[in-house]
Parts: sequence; structure tokens; C-alpha cells
Amino acid sequence: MELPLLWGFMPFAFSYYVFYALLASAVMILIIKLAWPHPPEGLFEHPNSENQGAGQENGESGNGGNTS
Amino acid sequence: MNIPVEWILLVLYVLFLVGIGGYVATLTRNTREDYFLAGRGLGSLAIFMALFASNITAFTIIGHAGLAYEMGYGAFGYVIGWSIFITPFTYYLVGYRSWLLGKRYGYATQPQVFGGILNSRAVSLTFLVLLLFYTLPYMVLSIRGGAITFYTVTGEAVSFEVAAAFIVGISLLYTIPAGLRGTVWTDVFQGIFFLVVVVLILFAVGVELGGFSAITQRLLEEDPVLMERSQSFSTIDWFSYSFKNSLAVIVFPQMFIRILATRNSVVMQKATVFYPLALALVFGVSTLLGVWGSIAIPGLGADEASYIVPALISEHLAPLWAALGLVVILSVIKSSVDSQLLSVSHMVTDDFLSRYIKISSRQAVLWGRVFLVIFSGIAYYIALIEPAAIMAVAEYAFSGFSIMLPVMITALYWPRANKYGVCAALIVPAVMLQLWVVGWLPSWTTFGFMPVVPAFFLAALLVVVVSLLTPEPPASQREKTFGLFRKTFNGVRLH
Repeated sequence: MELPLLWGFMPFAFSYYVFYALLASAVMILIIKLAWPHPPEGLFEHPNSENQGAGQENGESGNGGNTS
Repeated sequence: MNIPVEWILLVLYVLFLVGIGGYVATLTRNTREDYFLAGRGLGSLAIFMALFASNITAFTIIGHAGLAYEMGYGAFGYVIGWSIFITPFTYYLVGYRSWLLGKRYGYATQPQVFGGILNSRAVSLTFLVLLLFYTLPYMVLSIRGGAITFYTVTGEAVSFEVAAAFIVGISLLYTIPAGLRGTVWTDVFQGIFFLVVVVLILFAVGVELGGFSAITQRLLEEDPVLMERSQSFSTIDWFSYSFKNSLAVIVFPQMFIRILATRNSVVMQKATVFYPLALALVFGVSTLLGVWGSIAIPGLGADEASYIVPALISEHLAPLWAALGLVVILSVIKSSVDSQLLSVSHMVTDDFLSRYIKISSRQAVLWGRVFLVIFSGIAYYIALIEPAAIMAVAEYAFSGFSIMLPVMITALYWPRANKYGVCAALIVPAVMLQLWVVGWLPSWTTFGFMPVVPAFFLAALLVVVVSLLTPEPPASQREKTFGLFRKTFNGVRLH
């Protein structure tokens, strides 16, 4: 069966990726709706002593890894 | 004096970059948070363009179009098919949890995030060594590819050495004063410029060749095989190639760091929604130009076919288009090189130097700038002398990045993962990959796949098995990471 050219010039071997890209965006929207919550308020407001390095701006040294 | 239009555009382009660098430098404070992470304040357009432009290289409009010239429309699915969904999905899968940790604990790089989760300096150091091991050669490859492209499309009016120096030099012009903010602002400009110009070039070339439908009709008559999925690669090759390309991107330090620099979750969500469409558009245009080129300028060899887009422009369009095409190519090359240079300098400053020398935030910025100069000099020198060992590493850098992903996912999702499992899963597959590439392991041991596939699953297996065989992490350590995730994901703040 010969499939029609999309917009008169795109063969199916190529044009189905247009729909695939739209589907990928739609799936990302679905993931955002179902499984990507925003962080609750206050989650970042009380950094403990482990918050060093790149996250700080007070001129202290060290890096954020704070590893042993 | 008659100055060619491409040189005028080139000078305007450089002046524009210097202007952006100069302006953004006035907004950038001399703190490591502001210089290396743009104050974790990247907005929707900035993060989208930063992720997008850094992921578009010279390959997009040089190598890929050449592949489409030879392979037909099937080149699109081969190169980018999986990436359209999997790459933005990894921004969610790995990026969001890493961003939460970065925002909460101040982590700014992969060594910090994963060293922090596992509370292990060994994990941090292993990440640092492996990321540098793959990023530095890949950066050299980017500079070399860019320089070759530059001197080829200028008809060799510029030597390779000068072209490489130009690419490195203009990247430093705005990266040194303005840090991440400088690279992102130039990415926004370059990304928009790139999208607009390539679409315009597509339409201009299409019109010159008689219209889209007429070109397709010629294709059907002269070379209908190009209209079908290519048979020139096996399913197993396609699987390996797509696997490697789609999984590597989130592991690139320049991409990971930019995700950590995102302002909030809404901004990150928007970027993942638009990413598939932008990727499909750009590679779609490149594919069309490559396939059309096979009709307009048939009979080119593989090397010549790589430059089918510049050839189409120079043969069918006015010199102004050729000049715009040159600037587009330069901008995509540079947007990868600047972000790679900055991420390498950032990691060496924050994850290596800071461990051994007590430095203030302001001194870290100074060291970052010094390392920018040092690494750009080293990369430039290596690009010129092209040592075989380093270029060989660059060839499989994508695979090297990909096989680190199982560890990143496991550390972010499995509280039982420990530092022993993670170190084993980082080191052993990296060594195995090296042995496969140099041929010290028999090829049948990859089961016909590229070595990246078995190395990836070996990493996944090792991190689980070794973690289960060794002591579990202390509860307090697990709570530091997974307590944060519980508060976020068990909440009710879904849309």
C-alpha cells in the first residue's frame, strides 16, 4: 500500500516523526501532570549546616558535596 | 575596498558576542553561585535555549545532513529517533531529583550531587575523574570539528590553526567575564538565530530547486530508495547507536550543571515539553537539506557529502546566505565548546581544588577563570597535535557518558545503593568499555551490540549486586536524600 505524502512532500518514513515528536511532547505533559509535583513550600528555606560550597555566597570555602 | 559579506557578518557576530559578554558581566557577581550557576536563576527561555543550543553541534548540519544525503530520510530516525523522547525524559528522571538536591544542599556538579547522596569522597572523585576523562577529549573533538568546518566552508581562506584559535578565543571572550550567565545569554541569541536561519535556508533552497513537491517528485523518479527507511544499517546497530545517543546527554556535565541552575520546577517542565519539537525541527531541516542535496548535487563522496548544506547554499543561494550559514555553523560549534570549557573549569575548581586549598567564593571565581584559560590552551594544543590516544577516547566519549547513567538513576531512586556499589559500577564498566574499544576483549562478548550496551547493563547489575553484598548506608544518610524526595513526591501538589 502506498501511503500519501504529508503536505505533498514528506514520505511516511520521515513524516511519522512529526507525529512522534508531538506524541513525545504530549507524553511529557502527561508525566508533568501525573508524576512531577512542585516542591512543597518551605523545602529549601532552612538549609542546614551541610549547605556549603556552590550553594553559599558567604565566601566560605568547601564544596557542596560535603563528603567524608 | 570590497570586503566580502561573510567577513562583515563575522565581525558583527564577534562584536555582538563581546557586547553580550560585556553587558552580562555587569550583571554577574563574583560569587561561585553566580558565576558558575547564574545564581540558580535561569528562566524558561534561557534554560530551554541553553539545553538546546549546547546539544546542537556542527554534526547537526554537517555530519547529519551528509548522512541523510547518503542514507535518505531514514537518517533522521537513526540519529535522533530515540532522543526526541528519551533525552527530555531523562531531564525529568534524573534532572529534577538532582535539582531538588542541588537547591536544598547547594550541590553544583555531579561529583557533589552523587558524592553527597552516598556521603563518599571516593564517589565524588570517581565521578570527577570519569567526567573529565570523557569531556576533555570530546571538547578537543568539538574544536577540531569546528575548525575543519570553518576552514572548509570559507574555502580554506582561514587555516585550521587560526580557525581553532578563533573558536576557542571567542568562547573565552564572554565566558571569562560572565561565566554561565554569559554562555546562556549567547545560547539564547544563537539558538534563536540558528532556528530562524536554518528554516529560512530550507525554504530558500526549496524554492530554488522548484518547490518541495517538485523535489519529492524528482526523488521518486531518480532515487526512490532515499524515500524509504534505510537498509544500510542493521537493527542491532540502530539500537546501539540510538541507545548511546539518547542516554548520554543528561550525563554531559555542561547539561547537568545547567539543569541545576534552573530557577524552578515550572521552568524545567516547560523545557522538557518543547525540547522534542525543537530537536525534531532542527534535525528535520538538516535531513531534508541532505536528501534534497542528493538530487540537486548528486554523486558526492562521503567526505564531500558532509558539506552538502554549505554546497547547496553556495550553489543555489546569494552570497549573503552563505555568510549567514557560516555564522550559524560557528554559533552551534561555539555553544558546545563554551559550555564544555566552563563545566570542566567549574568541576576542577569546586570538586578538586576546593578539597585541598581553602578558597573563598570570590577566589573560586578567580580560579575558575584561570582554569578556563588553562583548559582552553590545553584543548587548543591537543586539537593541533591530535594525539591518537586522546582522539580515540573522544570517539567513544558518548558511550562513556551513557554507562554512568545507571549509577545516577540508582543513586537517586534506590536508598539501598551504597558507595561500594556505585564505585564498582562506575569503574568496572569504564575499564571494560576501554578493553572492548581497543580490542582486548573478544567482540562476541558484546553479543553484536556496540560495547556501550553490555557496559550499560553491567553497570546496572554491579550497582545492585555490590550494594546488596556490602553494608547498607546509615539511615541518617538515606534520610537526607530520600526524606527530601518523600516530602516532594508524596505531597499533593500535582497539577
